[in-house]
Amino acid sequence: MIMEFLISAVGLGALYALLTLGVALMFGVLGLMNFAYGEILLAGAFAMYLFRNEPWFVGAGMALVFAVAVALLSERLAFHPLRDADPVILMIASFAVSLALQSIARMTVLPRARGIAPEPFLSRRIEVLGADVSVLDLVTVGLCGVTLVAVAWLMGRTSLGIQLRAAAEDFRMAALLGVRPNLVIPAAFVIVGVLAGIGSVVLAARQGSVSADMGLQPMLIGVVGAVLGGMSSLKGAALGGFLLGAVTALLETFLPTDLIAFRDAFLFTALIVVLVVRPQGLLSGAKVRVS
Amino acid sequence: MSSARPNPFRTWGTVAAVASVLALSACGSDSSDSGSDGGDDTFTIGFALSQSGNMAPFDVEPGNAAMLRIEQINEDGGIDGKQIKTVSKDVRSSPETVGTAATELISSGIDLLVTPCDFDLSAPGAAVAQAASIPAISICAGDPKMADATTLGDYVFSANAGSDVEGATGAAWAIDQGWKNAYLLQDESIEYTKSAGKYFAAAFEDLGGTVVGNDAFPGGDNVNISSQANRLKNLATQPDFVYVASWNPGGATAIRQLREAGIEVPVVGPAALDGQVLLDVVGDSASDIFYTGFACYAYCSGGEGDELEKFVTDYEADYGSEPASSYALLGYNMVTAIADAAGRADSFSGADLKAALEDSRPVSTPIGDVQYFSSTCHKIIDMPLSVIGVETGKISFVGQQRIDSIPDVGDGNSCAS
Repeated sequence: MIMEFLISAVGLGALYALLTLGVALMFGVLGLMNFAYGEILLAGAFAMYLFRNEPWFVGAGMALVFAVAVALLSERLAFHPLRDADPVILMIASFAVSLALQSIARMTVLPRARGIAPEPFLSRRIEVLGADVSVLDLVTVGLCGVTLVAVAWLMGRTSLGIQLRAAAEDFRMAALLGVRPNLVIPAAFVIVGVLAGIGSVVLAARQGSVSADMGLQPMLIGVVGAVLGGMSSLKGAALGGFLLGAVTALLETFLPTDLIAFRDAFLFTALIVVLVVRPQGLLSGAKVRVS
Repeated sequence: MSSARPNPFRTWGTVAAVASVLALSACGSDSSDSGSDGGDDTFTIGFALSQSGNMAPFDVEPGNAAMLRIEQINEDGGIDGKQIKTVSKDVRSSPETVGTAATELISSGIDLLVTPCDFDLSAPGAAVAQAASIPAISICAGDPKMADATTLGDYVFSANAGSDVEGATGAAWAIDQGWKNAYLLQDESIEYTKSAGKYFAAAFEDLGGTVVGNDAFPGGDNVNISSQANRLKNLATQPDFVYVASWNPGGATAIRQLREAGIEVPVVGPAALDGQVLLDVVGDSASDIFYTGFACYAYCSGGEGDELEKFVTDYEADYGSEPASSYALLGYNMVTAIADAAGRADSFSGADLKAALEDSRPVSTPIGDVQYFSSTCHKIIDMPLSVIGVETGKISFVGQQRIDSIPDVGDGNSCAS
């Protein structure tokens, strides 16, 4: 029982951390609060639906391709022309991109929810340390964990990561020192696309359905997690997302049945308390930084 | 990112973004108008249904089927020689839009308003119609509060048997299978699911069964019931079946997650689980899933009668695909009942139409005779429900189930015994 609970709590936490990271990365590097993040997820999940009759890994690969393509397209068409605009204008633009993508999906391919059948190997159950857990839970923990480690490595150890962090510190100074905006900004969108793509693979496997507005809730989770952890620290954002997921699972387990409908009220009350004590988020220092 | 370098693309980008959003929102709120003079030579029905959003799966097909029936009645000479005209507005699954759409439709002179397939979404529109003394009929809302003539008013009806009947019918069928112990998994997202669960539990205990445990989940788009499944697995007494009081696609996801958690007991649920999407979400290996639907056709095998087959063929001829859930039939039957009442009404005034609707007599539908409204019960009074089962990737007809009475749970349901 405890082991099963732990695996589902860690799984949800890891998934939420992944969602949060995409939002925080965009905000840290570009100052862009990207509300179109949910629709990048939608693109990935739609690929899972489109390739539902192919082997699972083909659908998962295409989910990454679709998500990265939509992320890059939105950068090129909407955010690139606004590169020097005020953050508020960028945020409004991201709302426009989000609404436009959602409406296009609704008018063309997803007027209603579509189902994706469960993948037999993901719905199998195995014994781990005396607990009976599903392969899907383990894959969620594994996939999200590996991605989080990969992002940490990318940001900390590679030239691209250093450029991204430099751009986040002071975009103009970094540009004067040779960091090319036309490289780092699309690179940030590609990373966000990959994160959303992996998130969408996990979401599609858990939910089994794809609908035009499915991106809204994961996007909100990302934003709330990032605010909780600290908008300007990637580690903080990941921690915030993880805590959000783990506390959600905890509330589902320990709240009396009558109160489960109000789960989110409890969750957000706790969030308000945390933000009253630490308005800058859990891990954010005074200075804006990315890692 | 905050340098003030002028950028010629900036203005154009903003203009393009704003223009695209405006263009899209304009597309979203299309209204088709086929005449709305409201004169005595025509009978005008206003449709305020969702063509998009999370309620669209429950509104689009019943709306289409209603149009199909109107076409047929008009071809047969209309209501005593008077043609039925329609005006439609897309309410986009948003309660804010429903009220506005209803106001616009009523001011355009409609005789009767049709509201969405859900209590929560219908309420703002029904309130406008009530204030204008124009009958408002929800095309298929299930919650019994739609039908008690007091919650929303005495001009408000619903062309569905109701989630109270669905819950009670599920309970009666389970008792007939010899199942004594039930577990209730309650979706808390809408009134429909709450009343289905409540009436299921009341009827099951009235019939001698025991609800050995219950649990809830918030429902909606993002369903995760792993904690609930863990609790269920660790119960001392395992239930004979689980009643999942939910709707698609979240309900289908919940059932899928129950099965993935290793819970293999039968699952029973209400009609909002019906349709192709259930099959797609639970997959080919899922079995022992039952729900109380309205009919078995197209994606469901074993229940067709000649008239049902004709309905499916006509629908496909008009809309290019077969209906994907049995809610479509409710829209079709509703028009039959409206036309019958309008034919008996002294005039098309709100009060006369209301009186005729309340004095309904059984009308002939593809699933047999259906008795609609009375002055105290503003939803379908008598309609057999079909129990439909999912077995290894196939949906098929299991049997018909009727109930004699609706349990009284003390919530002011005027249709209960």
